[in-house]
Amino acid sequence: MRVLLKYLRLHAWSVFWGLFFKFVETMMELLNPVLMARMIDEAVSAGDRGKILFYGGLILGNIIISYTLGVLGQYFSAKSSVGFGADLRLALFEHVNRLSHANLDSLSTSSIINRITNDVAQVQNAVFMFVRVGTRAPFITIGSFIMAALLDIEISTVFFFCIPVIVVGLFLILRKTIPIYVQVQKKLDGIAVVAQENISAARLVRAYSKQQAEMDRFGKATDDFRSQSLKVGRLSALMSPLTTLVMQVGIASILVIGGKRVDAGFMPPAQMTAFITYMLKILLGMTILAHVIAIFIEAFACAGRISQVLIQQPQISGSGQSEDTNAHEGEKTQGEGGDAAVEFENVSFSYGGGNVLSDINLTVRKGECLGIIGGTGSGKSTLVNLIPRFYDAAGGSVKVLGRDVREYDPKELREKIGFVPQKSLLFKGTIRDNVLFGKNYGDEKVKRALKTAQAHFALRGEGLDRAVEQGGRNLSGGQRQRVAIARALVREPEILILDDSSSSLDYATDAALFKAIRENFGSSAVIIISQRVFSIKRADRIAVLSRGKIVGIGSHEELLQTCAIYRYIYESQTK
Amino acid sequence: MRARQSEKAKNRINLALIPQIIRVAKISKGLLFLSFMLALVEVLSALAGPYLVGIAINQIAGKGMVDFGRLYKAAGMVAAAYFISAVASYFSAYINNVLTQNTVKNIRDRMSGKLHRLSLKYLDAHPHGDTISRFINDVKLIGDGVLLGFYQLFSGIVTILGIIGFMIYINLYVALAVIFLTPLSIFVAAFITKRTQKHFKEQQRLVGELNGICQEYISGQKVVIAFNYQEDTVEKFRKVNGQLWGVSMKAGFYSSLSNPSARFVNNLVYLAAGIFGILLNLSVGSIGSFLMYSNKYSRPFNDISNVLTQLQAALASAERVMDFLSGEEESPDGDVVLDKEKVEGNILFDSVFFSYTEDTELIRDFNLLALKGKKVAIVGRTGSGKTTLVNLLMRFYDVDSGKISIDGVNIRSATRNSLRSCFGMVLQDTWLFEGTIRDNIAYGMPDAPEKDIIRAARLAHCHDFVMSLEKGYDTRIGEQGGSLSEGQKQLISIARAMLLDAPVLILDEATSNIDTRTERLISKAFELLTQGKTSFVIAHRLSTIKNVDIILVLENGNIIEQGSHEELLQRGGAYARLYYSQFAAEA
Repeated sequence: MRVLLKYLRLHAWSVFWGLFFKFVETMMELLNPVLMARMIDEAVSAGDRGKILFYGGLILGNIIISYTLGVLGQYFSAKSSVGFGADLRLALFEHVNRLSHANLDSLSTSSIINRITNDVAQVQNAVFMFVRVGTRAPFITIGSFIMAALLDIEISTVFFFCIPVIVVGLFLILRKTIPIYVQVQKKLDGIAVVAQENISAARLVRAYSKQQAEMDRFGKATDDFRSQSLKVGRLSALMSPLTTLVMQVGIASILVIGGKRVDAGFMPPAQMTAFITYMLKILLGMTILAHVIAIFIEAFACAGRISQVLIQQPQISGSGQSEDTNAHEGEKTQGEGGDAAVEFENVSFSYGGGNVLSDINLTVRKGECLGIIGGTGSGKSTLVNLIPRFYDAAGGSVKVLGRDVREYDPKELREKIGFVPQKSLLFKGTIRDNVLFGKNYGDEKVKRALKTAQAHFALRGEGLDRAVEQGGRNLSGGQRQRVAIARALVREPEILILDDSSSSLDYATDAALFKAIRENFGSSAVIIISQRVFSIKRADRIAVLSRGKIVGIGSHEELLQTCAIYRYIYESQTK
Repeated sequence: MRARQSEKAKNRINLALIPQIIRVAKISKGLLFLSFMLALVEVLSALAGPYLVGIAINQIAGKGMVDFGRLYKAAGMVAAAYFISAVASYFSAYINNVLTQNTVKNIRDRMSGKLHRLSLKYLDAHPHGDTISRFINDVKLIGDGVLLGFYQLFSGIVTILGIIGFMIYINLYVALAVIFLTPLSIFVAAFITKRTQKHFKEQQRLVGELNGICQEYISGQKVVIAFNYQEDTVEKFRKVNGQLWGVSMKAGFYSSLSNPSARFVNNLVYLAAGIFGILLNLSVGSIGSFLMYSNKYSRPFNDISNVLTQLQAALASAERVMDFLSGEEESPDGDVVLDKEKVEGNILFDSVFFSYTEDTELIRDFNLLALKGKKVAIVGRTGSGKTTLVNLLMRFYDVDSGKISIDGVNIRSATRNSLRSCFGMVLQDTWLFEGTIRDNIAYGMPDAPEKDIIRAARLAHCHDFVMSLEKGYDTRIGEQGGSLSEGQKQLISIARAMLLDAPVLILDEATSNIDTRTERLISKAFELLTQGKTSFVIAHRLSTIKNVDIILVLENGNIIEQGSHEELLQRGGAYARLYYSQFAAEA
């Protein structure tokens, strides 16, 4: 929670001015009933009409000044809260951008997005309300009480009874309703889940003729939601009538006690109007307070969720050493490393449970093409994820161009590597934007990369300016894959990694892609993961993974002779 | 021009929607009437309060001049009036809540029923996120807006008229002075609403844009990291965030003006009531009543202007909901009930024509006879329309002309449910529902005995991994569904089809996420399962379909070749090219 205060502090002055103006406005406003009572008293009871102009002028002046102060207060409350919200949102987004794969695995995308948008908006709104009514609501309550006490201490005892009764009442109701509100939200999510499933799986529901069952399931979800909502409604419907009732009993008491005080000559009758106005103001103040407290409680939960993200430490950050020594050392070891592009030495890894990789020893030389094959969950993807240091190895070391990956600045390391992940992701923009992805190359180079990636379709028609929709959903799976491959190729990386990224390509295209990459990237190290023997059989060497271990390495022909698992995979795909 | 017109249309309140929504929501008219009556009681008795207070104060004339008998009576009436108001307020709030929740539930349930009758054309054409938003947000807005909106509108108008009535009753001239200030209230409320609305709309748009950026780049974070694209991403975000800041600032400021402005007008009314009261020689009590009324006077104007905005949003939502509810449904069902146990599975496509959109013809004069026990494979490049045939077979879409028949029965004349029960289907996308693994496997046969479920799971090779989970078949999907890999989910959906034991099987790239070893085991199981049954297999890996009876080769939705593996190789056409490219590397 303290993390958030840092961002609020940036707007401390706006918050201060907002609170200040609202405070003065409230104080000024509290003078009106007294002035009005005086005016009535002196003009009616004493018959001095001249006083009307005097007090009327005072009240009018007061009204205008209060309004000006009120507007200023609102301005600063908007300024501080909106500024705070914008800063916080940006900070959160920047922070998420610094996180590493391991962090991201532990947070779901939709929950991060929810935090950046909804949660920040809630917290922003809470700050807005705090500045707007943070001083106003309590001061209008306390101020009215004090003013009443100054006018007549005996009558103000009524306030003394009413205020605590209402405070306790509101507190009890809020304490009961807030947990139910949480339930209501959960039940609403439940409805959304069923709707989501029914919409996206419409074919399945129909194929299995489960329409009625799904409707019943949905009906149950809406029933749950309704019953929780009604429960909350029953309680919160009490809030306003109860507070009003208490205050109005208070007013009746004021009338009775006031009658006695006036009768005894302790105060003029006109003051009765002032007491009643103060009573109404207190009622208003308390109602606002209850409202704000509800907002605050919700905002606290949101703030908690936001700080959960902000306190995540990127598990992979720049190395401890300075850039200079790094570069220096790099040069030195590079000489020793010779022509090795990637080296794994006794590498092991786990995501937290058992070892996903163990005893990995593997070297890929510059200009070499290595194929990696293995069953689902054999650790193929994990293995290559260690090269750009998306994760850190648990044991052993991974070296890129002779230097341990942990010694690199991660950015510098990733510049050397062209990585095409399993899931080919495109972003809203054009084909060009998607291939360049932050780089500044000319169109020729982009076209060359697309050609090598066999994305000839992207050169026709509008060509590089062709629009790509969010997630690339206006392209087919195979088209997306080829553009994603071009994105890696255009950077002419020293190490090129294709993580099962040609699975949607047919064999002819896949073969052409392989050939083009070998021709154009003769001096780079190329690592290709695939589940298809066909995609990798022409690699210089093939590593066979099974249960996190390398169980065979060699050329296609060698492996057919020596590695039973490889032979089995090969036969299962060709026979 | 057209954009502006539609903009205008959007701003217009389409009142015709209200009776439609009331019908869909099955709102109880009796409760609605009761709620409005209670509102009337609540408002009027609350408004009697200040009048009675005034009478009470009038009994307090000065030192030694207090009429206690009347004072007590008046004070008692004040308490009674507010008590009635409080009780009425509680019950009307209660009834409103019931009405709202019923409305929301009834509309959602109605939509759920509609969902299952909608044509898949409708569902495929509308983004799922948008449809879900209609289920959740739009219905919520209708609940909040339409019902409460009308309620507040009603009570606001009653309050204004009530106050004016009481004021006139006390003193016509002071009342006129107050009424004279009314346009100010209306003007202020309208000014703020107009300003605010414009900026809120823009704010809503920017929030949507920001959401889009988050959605794209955070779900693509791993790619962003891989390509060192972080700074550019943040730059994009920063730009929209900056715009949002400016607009939110304005929206927030203008909307927050409504409270101080209402107070400002209230205070002016307060002052006017005081001065005119004195000038017209009103009693202290009557002035007191006026002062109390003036405190309440400006609020309903604000409320009404808010309600109108809310109502507008609610009606926009109502329009979206009604649009969904009037979406195109599946064509009427036939009446022949096919018996899954007796159907043999002889399938005939007889000069079938089909297209998704009118301008691009997809399937043209397609003929195919697949007799019981035959295996048909459909191959082709990505996007060549392989799933179209499935869509037609299962009657997710209807053919444009020609006919498809099963055992000689035109599928159009059969009931959809009985037709679909003849097919066991495993689709490319694996859909698992929230619930246990057992529920998911038994999806098509909820009362299947445990041993059948386990047998199906064994055949689909998911029994072992299910047993390795802590809770076995009782493991909930969703609770820890994340821990199931894509491949495991696929195995479960295969088990689901296995359990059904239907006469015709449709396997749509069902094994694309499973490693080849497991896939081989499964295809063995499929072989067992498909024995004596008609089956349609959509496959990428040509090696898996060599032994089928008929291979259909699709290109751009057209069937360009059909025949057995040997026939097609001999022909040397597209299939042969596709097939040989697989082995090009060997040459």
